[in-house]
Amino acid sequence: MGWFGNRKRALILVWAAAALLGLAAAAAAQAPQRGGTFTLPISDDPPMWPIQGGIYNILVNKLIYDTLVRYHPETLEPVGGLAERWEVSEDGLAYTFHLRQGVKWHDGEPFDAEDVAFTFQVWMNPEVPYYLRANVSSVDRVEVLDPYTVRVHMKNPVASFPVLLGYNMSILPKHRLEHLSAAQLANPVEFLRNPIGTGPFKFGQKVPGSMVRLVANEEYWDGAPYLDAFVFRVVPDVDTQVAQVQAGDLDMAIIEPYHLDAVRNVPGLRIEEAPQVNHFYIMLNHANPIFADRAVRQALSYALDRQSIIDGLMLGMAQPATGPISPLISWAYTADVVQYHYDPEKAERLLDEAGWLRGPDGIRQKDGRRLSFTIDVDPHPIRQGIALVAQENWRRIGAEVNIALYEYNVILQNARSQPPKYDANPNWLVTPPDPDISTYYAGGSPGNTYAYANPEVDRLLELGRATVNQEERARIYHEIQRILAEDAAVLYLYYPSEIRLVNDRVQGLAPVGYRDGLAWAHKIWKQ
Amino acid sequence: MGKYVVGRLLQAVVLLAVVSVITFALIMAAPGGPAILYDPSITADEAERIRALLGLDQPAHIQYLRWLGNVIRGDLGTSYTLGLPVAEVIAHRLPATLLLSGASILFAVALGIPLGMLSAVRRNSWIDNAVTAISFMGMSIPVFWYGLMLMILFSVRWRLLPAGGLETDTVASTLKHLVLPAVVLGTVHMAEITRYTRASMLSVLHQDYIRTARAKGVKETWVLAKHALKNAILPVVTVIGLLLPKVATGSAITEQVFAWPGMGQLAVRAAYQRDYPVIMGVTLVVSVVVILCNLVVDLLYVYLDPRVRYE
Repeated sequence: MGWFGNRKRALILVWAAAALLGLAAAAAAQAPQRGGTFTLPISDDPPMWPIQGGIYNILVNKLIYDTLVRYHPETLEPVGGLAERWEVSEDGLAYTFHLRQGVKWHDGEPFDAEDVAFTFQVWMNPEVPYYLRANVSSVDRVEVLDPYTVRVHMKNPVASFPVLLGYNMSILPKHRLEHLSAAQLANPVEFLRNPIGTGPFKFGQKVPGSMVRLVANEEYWDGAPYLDAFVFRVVPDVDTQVAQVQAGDLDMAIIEPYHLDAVRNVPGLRIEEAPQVNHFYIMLNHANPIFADRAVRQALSYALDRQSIIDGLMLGMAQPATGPISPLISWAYTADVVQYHYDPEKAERLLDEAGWLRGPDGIRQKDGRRLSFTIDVDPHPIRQGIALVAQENWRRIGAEVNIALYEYNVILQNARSQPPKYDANPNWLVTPPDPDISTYYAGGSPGNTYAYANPEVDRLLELGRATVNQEERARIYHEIQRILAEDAAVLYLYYPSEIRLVNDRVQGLAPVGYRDGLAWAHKIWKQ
Repeated sequence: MGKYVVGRLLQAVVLLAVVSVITFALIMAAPGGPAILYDPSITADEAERIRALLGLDQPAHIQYLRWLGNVIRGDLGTSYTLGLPVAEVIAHRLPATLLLSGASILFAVALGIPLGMLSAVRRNSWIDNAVTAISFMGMSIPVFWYGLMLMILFSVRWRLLPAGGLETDTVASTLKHLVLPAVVLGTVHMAEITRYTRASMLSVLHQDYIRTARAKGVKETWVLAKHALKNAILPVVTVIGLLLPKVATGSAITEQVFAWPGMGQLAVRAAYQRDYPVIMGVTLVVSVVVILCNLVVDLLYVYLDPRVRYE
């Protein structure tokens, strides 16, 4: 099946032509320029502490701190960060990281293996609440071989380990934090008034509720940043963000498809579509007997008009999804799975065959149970739109579908209860660029908010995690994708592009979603 | 008088206790929980650990008593997500809100009272109709739309003023950032003040002493400014008194739209993220301000109306 629709192909041609013209025009003048400030919005005050999560925190930390491993700005493959390179033992139980030499903390102190070992201690300290603890749950101990070599011993092999280390797992300065108690490490108030990292930008100034200003780290080991400063402004409202980009107060904002009409032809601004490791889907709760029936799940999937969601709600800024693994992780992705092309007749047939027959009121039922359920949705316009399309689609095949509106916070709480407390829920999932999805699909895993249980999937997930060879891993994950699709475990909708509204003066943005791309902020420059 | 004030302050303490219990109960009754517990990457064990660390594993009444004990000792707790003491967080936000609300009320009073008087004096004229239309529009216009429209015109199209935010480096920059949100917030207040001033003036203008004043040849402007306004102002002061607490609470929507780093925005983010210590702290501070404002307005009556006395 063609990955790109016709419309898409036409767009690409237009882009290619535009790019060629642009190249010709700009051939002379495109050497990166130094200087200038880049201003980006965030939704809230960042604590600037990598032990805590929250996107507004993570984005800022990407600039102040470094990780051992970074993601290639195009392919998202793990490449050297603070660790120049690494090896894994054949049994997958020992990772040896060779650290970069000559790296300095922002206060001038040298960075070495002791900092890495200390950071692992913090990550693994049960007294310090750490939002990414799951990533180090298989680490047994860390050994400092010499000042620039660290060996991490694993309890069991985790093939995704290098990728996980690149996922916001920032290395912390031992000399600033070693004297703190566990309770203080949970929230080191004094350290955070002037946080120290090894990243391309140094902490400059924080105006609570307003902004954080970072300044270039001229001694950055990967070359001094082109920009003088990087400012994160707290602008909680997306519409205001869009107005501020138009007014020139912000250099970039991540926008929604429904903003496109208002900003498409504004001089001085451009719209970029960047791929990201993210998929939208409708979660189904298998603890609900209706969804325990595979035929129902498959029927709901066939009855869902994904293309109208992509065209109508996403305005084409998305690709139909075939499973939970992003095509960006190209070595692990496969489209060779059951695809649920819109086919309401087939959906009805499946339900008939499974014994779900229409009752006198037109609603299907089986063994006295009505095909009746509720879609919980948060107030985001796109997700509400998905709920409405699904409701309409599913009504036609004889399902009674209600919609209940909740705050996102409540949706998450209900999904994470054991067993989950919802029927169906349009949601999205951003993951590290690795196909290991055990957290979300292994039976009993806390991230498995669908109460999905398939012993064969469990077995394969474990195998995939323990297999170091990438070709073998790829085969395993292809099989997992086939089973999840066949099972219609949840209903995959689309892989959304990140849509960014960018000031034309800005150059050098990594061509992937900014959650991963900002690790390369030192390459951004302004004309 | 002194005894009266002391009595009112004692009442205030009881009132604050009641407010805090109700707020706490509402927080506990609301579905959802602190956002930090629901980070998609977090494991169930880790969530339990955080819960224990924050004391959220305790029964509700214990949690409340702990909070109360700390507050009495002067500690409002630490924000879950900002990592800073709540008192410090509020201290950061309060000045911005005082500035915005103060400016908006000033704008409202400066325009509202003259417009209301004008409206009353020229009753049923086209001026009155226009003022009435404007005030009804001001009262019913949705703030998020109005704010965004002003932003699109003044910031995006004409590039005259910044599109939200607050930069206090210089007085000029502060004022530039202040204009749009203050006008948006002030328009609503102005509409109210205009209507109250008009109604109050109208009832006063029919009084005998106004006719007497006019009959003895006092100049019309003097009649209006001294005899009429002074008596008409009492209900208007009440309205302004009701607006005053907003000086501290800020306006959630206006602050959100204009990315204004004030109390309203803080309250909104705290509610979304279920940052319990911040919700409680903001409620407490705002309650204190409301109670004090009401007291001040009540005391102000004594000076404005000699007939009012507190024993």
